[in-house]
Amino acid sequence: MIKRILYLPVRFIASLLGFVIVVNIPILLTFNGYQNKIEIKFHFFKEYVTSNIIWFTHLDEYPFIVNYLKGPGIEKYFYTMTIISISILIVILLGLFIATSIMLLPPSARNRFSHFIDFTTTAPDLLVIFLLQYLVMYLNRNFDLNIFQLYGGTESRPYFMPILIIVFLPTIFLIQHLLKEFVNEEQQDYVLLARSKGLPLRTIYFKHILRNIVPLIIIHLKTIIWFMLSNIFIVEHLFNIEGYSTVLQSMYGTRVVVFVVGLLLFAIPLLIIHVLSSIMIMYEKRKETTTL
Amino acid sequence: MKWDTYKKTILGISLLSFLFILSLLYPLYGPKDLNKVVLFIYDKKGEFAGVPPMPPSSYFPLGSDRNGQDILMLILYGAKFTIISAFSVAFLRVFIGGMLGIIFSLWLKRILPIVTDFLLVFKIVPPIIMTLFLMRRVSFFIEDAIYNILLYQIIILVIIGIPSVLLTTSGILEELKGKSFTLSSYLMGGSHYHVLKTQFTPYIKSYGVLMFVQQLLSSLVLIMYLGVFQIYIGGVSKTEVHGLEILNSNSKEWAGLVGQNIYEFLRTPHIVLVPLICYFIIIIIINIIKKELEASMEIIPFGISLTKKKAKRKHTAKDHKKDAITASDFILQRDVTS
Repeated sequence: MIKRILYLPVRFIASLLGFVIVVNIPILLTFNGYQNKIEIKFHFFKEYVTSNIIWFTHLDEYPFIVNYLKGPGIEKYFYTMTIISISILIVILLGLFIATSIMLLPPSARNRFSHFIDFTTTAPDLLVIFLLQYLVMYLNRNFDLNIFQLYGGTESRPYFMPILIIVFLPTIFLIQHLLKEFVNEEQQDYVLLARSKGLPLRTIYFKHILRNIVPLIIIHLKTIIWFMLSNIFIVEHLFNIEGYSTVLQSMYGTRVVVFVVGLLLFAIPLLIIHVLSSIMIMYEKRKETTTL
Repeated sequence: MKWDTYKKTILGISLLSFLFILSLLYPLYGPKDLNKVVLFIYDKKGEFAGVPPMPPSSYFPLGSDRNGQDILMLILYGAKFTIISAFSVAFLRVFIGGMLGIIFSLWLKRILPIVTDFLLVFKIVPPIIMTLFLMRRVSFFIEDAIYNILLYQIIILVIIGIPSVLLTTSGILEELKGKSFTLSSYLMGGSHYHVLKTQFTPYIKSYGVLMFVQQLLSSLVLIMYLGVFQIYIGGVSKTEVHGLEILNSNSKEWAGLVGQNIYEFLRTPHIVLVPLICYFIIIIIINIIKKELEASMEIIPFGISLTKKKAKRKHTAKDHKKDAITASDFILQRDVTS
């Protein structure tokens, strides 16, 4: 444990170095537009990387990072993060609800549902975005339902449509995996015992299996949030919503340090989930060792 | 390959290669200007039929876009670029990433944890954001530079995908190292190279194929996303979409077709939906292949291994079949029927 904690700074420096080097790849690999050549400029690259790292050691002397995030920047950031956190909540609740209700159906209907879900998860998200957009526009035109605001403007902050689009595929993904877990868990011995004692299926699913499955959601959340982050980026671009993606794009042209900090801010939900899942895995492992 | 276990895979690959060859042979059968009709369209009687974009009709089976080009022809022409770029990117990712993974987990095991932390960028930043920013250099019009632009884009796409392959490879090798056959091979004095050659190669082959299919999917999706941001594989051409200030895709690659018409969606949905649905079909084919490969290898993703239980169940089912008495078991009956 102590070794691990002592090792943390090394890990931090390594990951920061990774960020700086990857962001500087366009300097290593430049495209010469006049001669149509791809050039590798190792010398420049080295200089840039070292200067960027020196920047990082004097972060407090550079107030421009704060300037980027002051005012509208931080507002946009919170707007995007609100959308993501609301959608995570919706995905978890909806996924759990639908998965358990599918499990309570008779086996033939359950199979049909799971096949349908397997098929839907293969759909590329862009197709889903367009189809949902079309659906909303169709409702708007034919039934005069004007409650959903589709496009962003200078000041408007639509919530419904981005959340609907971001939630759709991850929910189905979560349902698919929860169903898998349910089927997996059904073969455990304690379920057999509960069945033999004469407990109804509903109690077994809700009381016993669900309780064992819920912690596993955290592991799936890694993929789901990753998916959401890339989807919100695309949705904001497509619907012209002024979210955090515009801030990120404006950051790229300026300085590497700002961009790296911006990327880290964008990835905070994912980082939190990574930490949570590693804690959970550690906990589970300890449980196993003590029982053994 | 056995026909029974890899039925869908063979069918899928042959479908994809058929599409690829059809697209390669386009200059032999297709019109050079992609049926371009610029301003007005007249039907056979000489009456005015409309202006592009046209909805699907007998002359344009899938309609035409704003430039007056036949969408069916565009899709046939562009298919080769989509397929070849995705395949080459996936192959290079798996090849280079797999090599690096093997080297790091066998010979440079000391620094593997640091490398894992070093690659955290790729773990926590979605690939589309990374690619978008790294590809800025070639997103404007450059004359006569298709191949170099293509090379640059492929290099970036490959770099984006290598870390995940590297980490999965090293994870798989770590797991294999714990197996008893590997341990005994090491105990008997086998070197890393020997163990790699004799013990790991069969695993690496099958996992490599599976990883290739996964990377194929991810690179296809990534290329599609890039299209949305008006970054096309093969660069942009000098001409604009008629009436809009969006540059055309140079190679007519499918993601580019989606991207250049993205704002047409509400007026004429078929222009965007046709290439998107074609993309969807390709992704479905590859997904089916992936599922079959996974089933044949009995690998369940996300680390939850069902293999033991599945094997048990299968075993019992087979035994049942064996034990079940059929009509042919009775000599008497056989005699009667014959």
